[in-house]
Amino acid sequence: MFVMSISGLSLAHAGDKEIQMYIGSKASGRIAANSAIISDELKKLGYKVDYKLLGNCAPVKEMIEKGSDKTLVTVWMNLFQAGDTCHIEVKKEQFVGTVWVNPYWFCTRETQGGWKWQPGKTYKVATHPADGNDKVLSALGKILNVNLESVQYKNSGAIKKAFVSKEVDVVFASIGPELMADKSASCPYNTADQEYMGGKPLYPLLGGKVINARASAIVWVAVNSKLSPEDTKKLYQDIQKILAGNAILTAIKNQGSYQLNGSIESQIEAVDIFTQAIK
Amino acid sequence: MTLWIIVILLGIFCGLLIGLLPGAGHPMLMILTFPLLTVLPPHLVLIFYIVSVQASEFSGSVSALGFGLLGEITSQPGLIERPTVIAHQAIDVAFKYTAISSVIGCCLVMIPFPYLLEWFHAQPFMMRTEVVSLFSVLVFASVIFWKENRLVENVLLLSIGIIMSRVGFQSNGGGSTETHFLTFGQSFLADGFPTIAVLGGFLAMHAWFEFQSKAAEPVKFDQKPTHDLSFPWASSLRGSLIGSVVGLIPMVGSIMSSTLAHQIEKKFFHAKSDIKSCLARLSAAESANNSSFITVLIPLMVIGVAIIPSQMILINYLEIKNWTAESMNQWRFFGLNFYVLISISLAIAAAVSYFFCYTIVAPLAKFCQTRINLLNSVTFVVMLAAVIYAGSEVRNTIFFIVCFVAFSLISYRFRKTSFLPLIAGFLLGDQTIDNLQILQSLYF
Repeated sequence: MFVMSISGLSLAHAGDKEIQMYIGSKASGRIAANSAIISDELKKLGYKVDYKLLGNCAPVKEMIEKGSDKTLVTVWMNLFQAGDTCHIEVKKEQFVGTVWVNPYWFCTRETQGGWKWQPGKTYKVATHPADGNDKVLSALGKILNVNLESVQYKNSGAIKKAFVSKEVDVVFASIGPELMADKSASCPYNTADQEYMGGKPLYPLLGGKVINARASAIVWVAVNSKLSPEDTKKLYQDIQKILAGNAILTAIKNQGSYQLNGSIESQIEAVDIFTQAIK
Repeated sequence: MTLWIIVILLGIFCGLLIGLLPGAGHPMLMILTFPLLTVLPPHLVLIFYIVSVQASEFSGSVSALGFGLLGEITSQPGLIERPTVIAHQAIDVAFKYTAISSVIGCCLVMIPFPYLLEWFHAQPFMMRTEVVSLFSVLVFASVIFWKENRLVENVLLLSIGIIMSRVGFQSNGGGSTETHFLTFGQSFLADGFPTIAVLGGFLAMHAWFEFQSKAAEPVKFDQKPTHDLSFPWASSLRGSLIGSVVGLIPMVGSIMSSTLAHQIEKKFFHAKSDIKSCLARLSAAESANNSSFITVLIPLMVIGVAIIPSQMILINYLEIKNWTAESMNQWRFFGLNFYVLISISLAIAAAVSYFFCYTIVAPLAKFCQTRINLLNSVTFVVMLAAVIYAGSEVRNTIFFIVCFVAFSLISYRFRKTSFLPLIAGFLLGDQTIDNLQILQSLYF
């Protein structure tokens, strides 16, 4: 489960609305798409945004840790946090809010009729790259009386291709809503905490023992220490308004995602849980 | 609608120009137009590419016939027939007949093209990892036997390209899924070697150095043939059919289509050395050329696999725009299926390119002929600007420039070597290794 969080720590001089929005991913994918929406909305609010996609989280982490002369706004995710190279300290004063949470879905071809689990058989399951998948699939396989083996694909597009071409019959990935929308799959379970979009939560089904069912991402901003507190507060409020606005909510809803609405502390706690879950 | 028309006209203009420039070619066109292509949406990037490639095939024979220089390998038949054409003072007729042949080759495939794509899209097995891997492996096998280098050189270059493609850092969820390869802990290497610097240094600059070492043999234009010559319709149709089939062969299909059509025409239909037979062979080759550069799009547009160097560059640009081959099936513009839009764009490109090549190619070729060095200097400056622009977009300008200069120096040092195997390894290596790992997980 991915949680996108935006952390902004603005340290610009009073009245200075220049910010750098540097994203540690390539131009394809949802991070780029949704961060571009945020950048555009900030521009509409009068901010001068230098928006760049740096292709990789490592250079952004370097900027966060070494600082820069302008306000830095970035979007982070639990996949970055789960490793060593891009792991950053999640600080409350730098955490603005979550952009989206995207559960993983366990999907099969049952809607196409004639497809059934065969006891004892080994099924290849298309998954995102993550060590935690095997633990979930192993536990779920015992319940279904089958063997589930993970085949890691680079991204959602590759997973969908594998399913559509019948290279695999089972998927454990974020593209559940897409597959359900075109009626090519049935997705009875997902990694949300509660029943979500017709899918039952996996965590309680697996006895509450397999933590690898949730994930979150956090967005972090590295800045210098010369910003006025008023400008920082204003920036945070503006970003939070954007996160609660139509543009972002429509985008994430179409992607089958949701937002966390609790306190900052609870969201940071969720980030930690989701990050541990994906390892 | 306006933007679409502008993109088509721009694509035609760029394609015609690059076809006239000896030593240039589609890959260089893709590199030079990088800043433009980064701002266009994916469907217009594709239209620009398809239209410019077609247009360049219209004007490409001008380089061979007019200067005696090989702009693209596909113009080889033009070089072969050049002496006969000049001896019969038929250069003007040759230009015109190659233009007509290009239209025929384009039209023969352009009309069924949308239906072909729809049919292929309806075959889900095409998206399987085995099929995609097969195309990649065929490309690698082709470059290993690339005749411009020795076998050992090709294997070495391909291996280096594959290694270069893997350089970088990937963070997918920590643990064993986090991989570092030859980054030495440096963040500027996290995203690997910059594609534009690799292509610019090993492909564009290499062609530039190669061209500098050759001398053009300009021909006098405005020649009048000694007798009437009718257009060889049958030869052109044969060439179109050959090209449309051969274009599907990865890497070499579109390149060898014109040569194959030329050879078949020579062996079975027009073996004589008179001007009529010469023009028939030339027409067959030119039609094959244009038709192959449409069918060569099929693997790209159905399964997202690039099978020629310019497509490998194109896919690099498209992937950063969240493009997938499967999604194109759903695209609708102006109420039309995207594939139909491509055919319409090709029709416009063919019409405009034909008009250009039939009427004003001679004066424009003369213009280029007398300013070749200036045009090449301009392409170098544009190339460097593209590298600097790309680097600034990811705040890694110095690294981009260093790579471009280093690779350019290497390609200058080894300017007699073709770096195409390295390019193929670099552009396809990463994905191919990932696909082979998937196949291993699926079947072993």
